[in-house]
Amino acid sequence: MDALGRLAAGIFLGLRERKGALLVFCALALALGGISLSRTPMSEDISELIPEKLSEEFSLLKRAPLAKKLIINIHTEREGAEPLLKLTADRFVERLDPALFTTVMTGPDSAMGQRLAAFFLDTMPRLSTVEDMERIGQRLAPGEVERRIEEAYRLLISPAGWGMKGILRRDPLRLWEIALPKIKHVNLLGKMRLGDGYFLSSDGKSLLAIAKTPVVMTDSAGAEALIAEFEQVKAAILPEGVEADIIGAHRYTLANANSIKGDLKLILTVASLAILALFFFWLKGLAAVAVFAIPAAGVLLSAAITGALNGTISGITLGFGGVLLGISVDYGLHVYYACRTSREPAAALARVARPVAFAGLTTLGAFAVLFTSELPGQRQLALFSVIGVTICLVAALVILPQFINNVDAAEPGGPRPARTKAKNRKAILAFWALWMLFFAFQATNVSFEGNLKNVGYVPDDITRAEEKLAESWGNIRGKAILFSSGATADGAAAASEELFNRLNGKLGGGEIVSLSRLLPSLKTQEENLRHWSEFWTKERRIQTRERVRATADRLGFTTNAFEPFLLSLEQAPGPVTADMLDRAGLGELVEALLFEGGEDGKEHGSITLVPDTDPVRSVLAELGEVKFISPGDFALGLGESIRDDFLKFLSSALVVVILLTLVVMGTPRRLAAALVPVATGLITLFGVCGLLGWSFNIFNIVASILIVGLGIDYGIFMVCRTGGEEGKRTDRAVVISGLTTLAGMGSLVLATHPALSSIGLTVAVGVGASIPAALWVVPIVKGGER
Amino acid sequence: MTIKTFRAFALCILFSLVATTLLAATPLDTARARISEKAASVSSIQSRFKQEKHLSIFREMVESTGLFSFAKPDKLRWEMTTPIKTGFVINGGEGRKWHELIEGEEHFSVERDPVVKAVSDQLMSWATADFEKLDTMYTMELLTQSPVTFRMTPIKGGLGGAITSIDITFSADNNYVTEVLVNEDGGDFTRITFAGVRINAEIAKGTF
Repeated sequence: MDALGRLAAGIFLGLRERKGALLVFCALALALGGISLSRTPMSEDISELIPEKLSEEFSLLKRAPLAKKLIINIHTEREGAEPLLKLTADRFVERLDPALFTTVMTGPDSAMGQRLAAFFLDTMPRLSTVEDMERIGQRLAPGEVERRIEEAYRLLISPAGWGMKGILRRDPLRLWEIALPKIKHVNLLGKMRLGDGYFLSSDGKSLLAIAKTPVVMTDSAGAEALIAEFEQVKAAILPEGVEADIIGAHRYTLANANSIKGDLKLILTVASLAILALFFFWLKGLAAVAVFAIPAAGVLLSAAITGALNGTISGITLGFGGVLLGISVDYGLHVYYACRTSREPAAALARVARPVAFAGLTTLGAFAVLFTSELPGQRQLALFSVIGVTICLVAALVILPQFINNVDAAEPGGPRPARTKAKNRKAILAFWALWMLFFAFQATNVSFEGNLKNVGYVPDDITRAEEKLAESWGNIRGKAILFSSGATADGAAAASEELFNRLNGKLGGGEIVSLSRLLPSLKTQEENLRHWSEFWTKERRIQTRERVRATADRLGFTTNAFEPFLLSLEQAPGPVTADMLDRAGLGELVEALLFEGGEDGKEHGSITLVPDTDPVRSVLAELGEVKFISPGDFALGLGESIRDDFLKFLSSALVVVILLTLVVMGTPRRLAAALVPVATGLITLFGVCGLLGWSFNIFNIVASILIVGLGIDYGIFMVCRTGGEEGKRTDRAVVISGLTTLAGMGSLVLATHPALSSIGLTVAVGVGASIPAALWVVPIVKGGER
Repeated sequence: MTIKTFRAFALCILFSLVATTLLAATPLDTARARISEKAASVSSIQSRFKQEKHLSIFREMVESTGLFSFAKPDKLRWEMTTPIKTGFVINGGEGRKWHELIEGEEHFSVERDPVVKAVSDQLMSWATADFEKLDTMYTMELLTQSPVTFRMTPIKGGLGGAITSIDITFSADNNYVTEVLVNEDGGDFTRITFAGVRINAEIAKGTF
């Protein structure tokens, strides 16, 4: 009897008379765990799944102008329904609860046109480039001033001139129109046109509203209230033939949270029922409840401790509870099979303690590797699994034996694996070798999925809404983001301006979204101002004044009708600032394209947006030293990171498992035999993935490490099995434990969430292959009795 | 009649009165309904117009006259004849405009000329009493019931932030608009009166 066996037997005997106290202890621990877990908030934060080396990029990606906004797309298939769309938009604005929808912007406000003209009139001396001054010069050519004043007169007496008096007094030559094209560089909605002050699509069949909300993107309860409010208002106001969709991160959060919550109930119920059914069918006794209670208690306590340590617990981690149930029930099962039929339970426990402990230890080793992951979500999963496995291991060896009734020494039930005849051994080995070769070849086709959207749950209605949005407005949410920063706001403006100038030569100016043409650096502003002053010499001012006044007088204007314009030519305005843009009605753009950040909060930044296409990425690569985030590149980077993680984890887990197994097994041959289920499970899994075109994602990595932990357990038990009846009991225990694991996995296949179902599918394939390998191939490789 | 029966009867009367008051349409609704009903039977309008421009930057009031034609659903002609000859025609999505100083006509797409589009949208909405569309641009109140005069205060977009309100007056038989008064900042205003209105009369070829 080894030391571990002696320790287990000693504890068993020591606690024999203290069953009552043990039960009270268990009940208290479970009650405390339950209370603690009920108070732990569940998080569905996608950033937990982002590697730390990409977390900065991810947080920058979240700075994309429309990333935190909700987009309401109101659309129809009817022709000429613009008034209906506008009416619907106004009703949304009126009815949506301002506590949830702080602002709902359906277009520039009514005075936007006037304010924009006023902005350009105020800032023209500082915004006009040398090219602009040439155009202004053309408007002062002989006959042009007179023509413009006459146009102003005609405009004023036509319906189009209603409300234009103020602007025309300040600029009868309409010089501000020369600066107007600068506004095209801040159009975030590519296919947008303005119609009566509304954001309308070019075909007039869609209207866009942009809403702000105080609800944090990852707050599922807040997102639920937000979407419910939208749906309620929509049901109340939507006219016939008009549709409205809300698009934004909140909707994904809610869909994922609801999917995970629904899955959790289903998974835990189905897994529990399936495992219970297995026990009652083959074991037929109350002891089955005790065996089942161990993993259930382990999941509860592990979730409570993980939640208490982290402050929150991820929904994905909780979903992993189904997997943990399937794995950790094995320890109790082997203890149960060993003790149930023995007249000397302490001795039986001592014999089984070593393989059980080492099986648990290798599983722990495999999961512990995940602690080195760059993904916070995977580290939480590692913590949850290690705590859970430890609790179940200790409970199986210390608590469970006290409650196994061994008086009857009845033979427990269970499927009886067929005995392998000697002549079949070669055939089995040959078949296994061919199987391994075939799937090893297929495994070379495995690809990696880095797109988080494909790991998250996206219901059809969201997909349709996104497609409709892209169809009407273009890819407004997927532009590449370029960052320019500086120690001051002007420094950031200068950097942004330089970037714009460099890009402008290589990309079409219309493809670049940047504030640099409306908010140039102070240096550029001063330079423009100098050109302006040099242009408006005293002579030119007097000449212009005379011509304006003479024409105005001829047309019946008062003497001072255009005095504001003539005075402005003599004045040098102050610097253009972000506040001025705000007052011009461009506040949303300023907020979207300028930011303050850095460790001390003193860094100023400016965002430039360009299409996220391959040609544009090539141009950016040529520029060098430009900090940019492209959603497409980010997905690729994430994919690469996952592949690196995968290789690192798998190799580390295999090394840990092999080393630990070598310690237990003692000889290379026994080690090779113990590794057969692991190798079979992994190669079959990769091969099936390659064959069926399944991509590997973050969750498949967890699943494959699970196969390592589980497969080695089967291998160790099968190598450690002795001959005779006790050996047969080991066979049954392996089959039952495999089936319980598959029951746990099977429940995950039912999940609607792609993350959970992909864990279920991959582990079902891997474990499904490793069980027959454990039963029939391990004994052959090990040699000796069978 | 017992006291109880009398009480019940009185309560019923009182309740009916309150309910009738609460459920009754407002005068604005009633006026809009009357105008809409009449407008439904109008397929075309032709009239002369006179515009008085009272702007502080003009030494004197500027008067202009011209012709206005409209045919459902989307044909419009605004033709100024004095003091200058200028105007535009909208025919569906296409338009053309002219000026006495410029030779020929300029053709344009309505969608690509937001100013003309905004103006024509306004004129057509008034001519057809399209309150659904007007509600997207203005808040409306009833100034007088006979003749019906609405005061519309811009809420969004439209013809510029400097317009404070627009008063629209309809004919006594509610068939057509007789006067439009555009009020601007600083007490300036523009008054357009329509005369010689012909409803559903044949429109000369080439008008649009």
